[in-house]
Amino acid sequence: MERYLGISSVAFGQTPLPLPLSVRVTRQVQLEPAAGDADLYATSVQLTRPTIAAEVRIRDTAAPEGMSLGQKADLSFTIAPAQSGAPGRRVTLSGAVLVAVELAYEQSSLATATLRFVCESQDGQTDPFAAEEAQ
Amino acid sequence: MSTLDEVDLFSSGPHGLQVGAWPRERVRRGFAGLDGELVLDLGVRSRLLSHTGRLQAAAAAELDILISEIEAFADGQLHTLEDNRGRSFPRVLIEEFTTAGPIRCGRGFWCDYTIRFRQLP
Repeated sequence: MERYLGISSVAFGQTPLPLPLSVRVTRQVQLEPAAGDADLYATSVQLTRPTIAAEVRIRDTAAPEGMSLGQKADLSFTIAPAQSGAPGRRVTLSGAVLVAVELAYEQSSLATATLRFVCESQDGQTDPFAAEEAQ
Repeated sequence: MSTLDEVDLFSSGPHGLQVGAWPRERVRRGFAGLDGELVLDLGVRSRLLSHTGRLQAAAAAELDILISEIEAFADGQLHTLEDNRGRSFPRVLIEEFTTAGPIRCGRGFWCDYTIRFRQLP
């Protein structure tokens, strides 16, 4: 089992997102439970189509200032292995749409930016999430 | 499990039946200057039953078959509906069968539906 420690780089399209603090990727569905009139409990739990979302926190605010909501590009990041010599991992979220930018300026602390993305599948069949061994 | 003419059409998913009241039709007549009114009872008329549920299948083609099996009963003929609790509703016809939106895909394929039955007295 590979373990990872640290984020080497994050980029949104051609724009690097420097000084990453965290990257969180969420794959989520909405539940649609239903039951018949004779049932005490839900007998059918259906799911909506999944959405893949990402949240990137960085210590830089300059790059996010130049971004506009609705911008679409591939979001990719590389995570470093915990052991030396082990391969890292490169994760790509294709068709990531920037949906929120939050800039936080704090007293006696470095300003941070939180960027939120939701992915669009290219054709409705392809999973926007892809992970592979980093070269 | 509900059936229509003892055919299992609905067991792929949960479903329920809302039974309407038997309406009585009447004619009311009033006369100028007279208190009260005349009510003429015309008798019991047909009632509506609303059957709602969810159709589910592993493949879209299977779901299409489930839908077309129900549509085949919308033939203007009278059928017998039995609900989840074994209550029998004779002399019903399907007035309308509608799916709530397009077929959806999650854990397999599914759609919610409503069937409006009319039961004749």
